[in-house]
Parts: sequence; structure tokens; C-alpha cells
Amino acid sequence: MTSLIFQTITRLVSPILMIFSLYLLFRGHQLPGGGFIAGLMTSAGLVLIYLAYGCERFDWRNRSRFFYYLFSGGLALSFLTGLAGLFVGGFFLKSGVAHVHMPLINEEWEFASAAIFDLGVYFVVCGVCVSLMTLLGEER
Amino acid sequence: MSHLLILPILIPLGTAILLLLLRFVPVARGILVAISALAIIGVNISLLSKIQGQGIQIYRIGGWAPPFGIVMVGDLLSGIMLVLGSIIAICALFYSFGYLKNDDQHAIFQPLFFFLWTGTNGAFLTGDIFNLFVMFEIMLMSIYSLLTLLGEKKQIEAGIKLISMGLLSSTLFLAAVGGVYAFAGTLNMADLALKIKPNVDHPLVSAAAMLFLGVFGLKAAIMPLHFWLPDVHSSAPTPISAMLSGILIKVGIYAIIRVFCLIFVDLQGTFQVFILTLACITMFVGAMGALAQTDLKRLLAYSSVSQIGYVLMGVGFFTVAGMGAAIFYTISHGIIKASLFLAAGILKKMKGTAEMSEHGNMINISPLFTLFFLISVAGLGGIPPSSGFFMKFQLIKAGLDGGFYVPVAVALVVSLFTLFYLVKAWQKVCLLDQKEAPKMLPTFNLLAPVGILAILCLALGFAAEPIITLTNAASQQLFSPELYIQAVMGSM
Repeated sequence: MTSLIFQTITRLVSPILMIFSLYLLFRGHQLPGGGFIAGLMTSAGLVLIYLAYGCERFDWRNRSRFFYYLFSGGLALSFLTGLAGLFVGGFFLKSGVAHVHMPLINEEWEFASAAIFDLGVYFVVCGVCVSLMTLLGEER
Repeated sequence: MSHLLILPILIPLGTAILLLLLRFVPVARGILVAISALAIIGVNISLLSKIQGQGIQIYRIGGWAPPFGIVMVGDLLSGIMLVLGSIIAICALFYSFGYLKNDDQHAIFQPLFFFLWTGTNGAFLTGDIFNLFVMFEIMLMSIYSLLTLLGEKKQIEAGIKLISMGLLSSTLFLAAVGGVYAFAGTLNMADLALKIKPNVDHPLVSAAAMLFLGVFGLKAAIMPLHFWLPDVHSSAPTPISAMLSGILIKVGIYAIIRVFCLIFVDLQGTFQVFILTLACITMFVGAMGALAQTDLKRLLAYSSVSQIGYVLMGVGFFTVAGMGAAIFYTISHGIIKASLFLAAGILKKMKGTAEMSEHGNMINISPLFTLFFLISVAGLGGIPPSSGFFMKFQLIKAGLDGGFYVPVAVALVVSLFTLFYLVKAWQKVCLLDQKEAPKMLPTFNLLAPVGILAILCLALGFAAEPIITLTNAASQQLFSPELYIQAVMGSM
């Protein structure tokens, strides 16, 4: 599908998708959003690039190992967050919140350990989606 | 608070993730698999003895108090099922080292197997109905891929059946959970029991109970919903067949017991006739199906349907003795059926097929195999001194004591058929002459798990007394649900 219109639109849309997905990822602790939906959105952006440009800009197929480790590493990250809850907080999956005063902007920011868990989920979703896409798009 | 209760979920989950990361390091994977499998069985046994000593155990995930957070609850039934599951899983895992062909298959098999193990352990431990749904999904997801691992045509066909079954049951399960939640506003099983007790006449409650029975009946392959089982259990890779028949259909039975002995206690009388009728039909139809099979693995799969009918009959008595007998039946049948499936897998490995007419003369080819096979056949047929005798004896006795003469009569007649198809299979595989020599002989890796399970079956027969005491205690605990509710809700 190498149409100029599609490629141009992709170049415009996919960065917006990526940035918005990161925004969704980090607001997900209190508001609608979170790792799963953000991961899907990032994957949507990646799929757009894959469809528009194929393998000419980025060799997806030879990077399959990277995406394999992305999703298994993401799973490990989420699991380790749970374990950290067990060792620090006394319960598996116990989460904690830290309020940190940011010096330059003079605001109180909230850091939750659940965000790390969400980051793991984000990696899993991205890794699985891209792996699936490259596997299904492979010529046999 | 002790973390022992969460370990049966954490160890297999962590192992599965590590196995994914170690995909390209086969040696490390082998060592890891061995260590964690032993660790899980150790943890499960110590958990069972702890439950025996100190009563029902509770673990609050994330530290949230019930009924708001998810609790893990370990009572005697969960403990027994955990130990049974880990015995079968460890044998299947050991067997897989001799069964799978190359490291690519191991690299996919091992992590998925541990995810499956996470799911079964979690389903036995969870005290939250939605979490039970999640655990079922974890099991199903792993089974989908494990089933089609070798990519044979029959496996793909069975995979389609399994996926349609899985999607159907998940949808219905979700609908049932949704209905209960809309009615009671809680998902914690103990809290649900409290909320439903005064409103048992509400139509939504009976509807939800019926839906739960249907969903878990679909998983446990109870008669009108057994259509998927013979294909799936017979075409799966053999270690997975052993897991499926040994423990996964028991998860369905476990869930039926849990739901009807905790949440819908007052509906037991209403559902009794229905459950007993289903049990009788299941026993009969499964045995009839098994009689007609020429493939050993298919025969065993149909026999699993039939045997699930027996377990369901024990549950359907809703007496302490009947439930105890059903739990003992579950243990004994799980071990025997796993051993038989692994034995059938050896035959399949030897000649590329488990068709009984292709095999024969095993008594001269491999006397050890014949011995183990004979013990398991005697076990399933109900011949003393194997545990099979006690499992049937307990069940029939409980039925007669409770005055359920018709189901008992059906069970006895079906036992005759069971013995008949098993002896037929044994005779064909072991005694009859066969000219064509097999390609290979059974290796140690394949024979040892079969042997261990067969010896366990005999040991269960000789040491039936303590196990029956244990299962009766578990059943006693199930019939005093206030203990469970007190343990969960009292821990606030």
C-alpha cells in the first residue's frame, strides 16, 4: 500500500498518536487511560508506519527478537513491581505513592508505584502487537 | 501474615516469565524448570499441612481488606487439589522432556506450561468470583497454544473446537458474574454468600446459579456440554492430555463444589435432582462412547467424560460422605487417568499412532510398561488393591447411605462397561500378537512418570484410610460454610 497520500498522513498522524499514547499512559493512575490502552495506541501508530512504508525504512522482521524481549521484559517488570510490594509493603501487589515537590515548576507531583506496573503492561501490549503484526505479515 | 498462600501462584508465574526471557538458553531453562517444579510441589504440600493444622488460610492481595480487595483463600479442598495438581503437573513436565522433539518446542512448551500451572493453582486458591474468571482465562489461553503446539491437522481442528468452547463459556461466565454483581454488589465469594442467603428466592439468584452450573459444566464436560472434550483431549500433545484429563476438568468440578457449597447453599435441594440426572447421563454416555473407540487416546478421553459423571454424582448427593467420596474420586481418578494418558502417549511415540489395532504384544516388548498399564487399568476399573476400588466403594456406600438407589444402580452398571472397555484395551495392546515391530522402545523419560503415577495409585489403595479421613475432613469443612465466611470476613 504505497500511496503518497497514505504515507504523508502517516507521517503526520503517527507522532501525534505516540505522544498522546504516552500522555494516556501516565495519566492512567487516576484518570481514564493506563498501560493497556496506551500500548494499543502506540501499536496502532507502529502498524500505520508498517502499512505505509513496509520494511523499507525500518527492517521489522530482523528486529523480532527485540520485540520478543520487549514483551517478556514488560511482563517481568510488572511482576517485579508486585514482588517489590511484597518485600517493601508486606503484601503482593501492594502499591505505594510518593508526593514529590518539583523545584523549578513549583508543583506537587504524585509518583505511584502502580505506574511502573502500568509501564510493564504497556511494553507487553506493544511487544505482542508488533510481534503479531510482523508474524502475520510475513511471506511464507 | 504468612506469604505461603500466595507462593503457589507466584512461583509458577515468575518461572514462566523467566523462561520467556531465557528462551535462547536451553540449559538454564532445564535447570529452572526442575527447581521450580520441585519448589511448587514442596510449597503445596506444606500449605496443605498448614491448613490441616491451623484451619482456613487467608491472603489479602495488595493489602486491601475483603470484600473490597481480592482475597486468596486456602481451605482443605483447595489444599488437596493443589497437591494433586502439582503431582500430575510434575509428571507431565518430566514426561515432556522425552516426548517433545526439539528445543524450539520446549522453548514454547515450558513457559506456557507454567502459565497453565499458575492458572490452575490460582483457580484453586482464589476467593473472588471474578478472579476465578481471570484464572480460567489464564488456563484457557495457555491451553489454546499448548494444544496446537505440534501443528498437526487434528490438533488445529480440536483447537477450533476448544476456542469456540472457551469463548462461549467465558461469555456465559461473565454474564453470570455480571448478574450476581448487579444483584449483590460484591464479587467476594464469602460476601456473596452472606448477601444471597436472605434473598435466595429472588429469580436472579436461581438464574445465576443455573448459569454457573452451565459454565462449569462446560469446563468439566458434563453430558450435553461434553462435545468438545473427546477431540481436544485425544489430539493434544500427551503431557497436555494428562494435564487436561487429570486436573483441568477437575477445576470445573471444583468450581461447582465451591459455588454450590458456599454461595448457593440453599439451592442445593432445588438442583439436586437435576445434577444427579446429569451425572447419570454423563456416566452412561461417556462409557458408551468409550466402548466404540478404536484409538486408545480417544477411548481414554470418552472414559474421562464417564468418570466426571461419577464425581458429579458424589457432589450431587450433597451429603458429607458423598462429597468426601467425590473428592477422593477426584484425586484417585486424576492420578490414574494421567498415568493412562501418558502410557497411551508412549504407544503413540512408538508407532506414530495410538490406534489399538496397530499395537500388540507389549508384554514381550516392554514388561515394565505392561505392569504399569495393568495397574492403572485395574485402578480405573475399580479392582482392589488399587485406589480405584476405594474410590468406587466410597461413592456407592455414600449413595446407599443417602438413599439414592437409582444413581447407584446406574453407576454400578456403568462400572461393568468401564471394566469391559478397559480390559479390551489392555488385551489388545499388551496380549494380542502383532507382527510389525515398533520403531523405538519406551525410554526412561517416558516410562518413569507412568511408573510413578501407577505406584501412587497402588499406594493410595494401600494407604486409603488417611486419605479418606482427609477428604472427609475437607467435605466436613465444605458443609460448614460459616467457617469459610468467618475466615474471610473476620480478617478485616
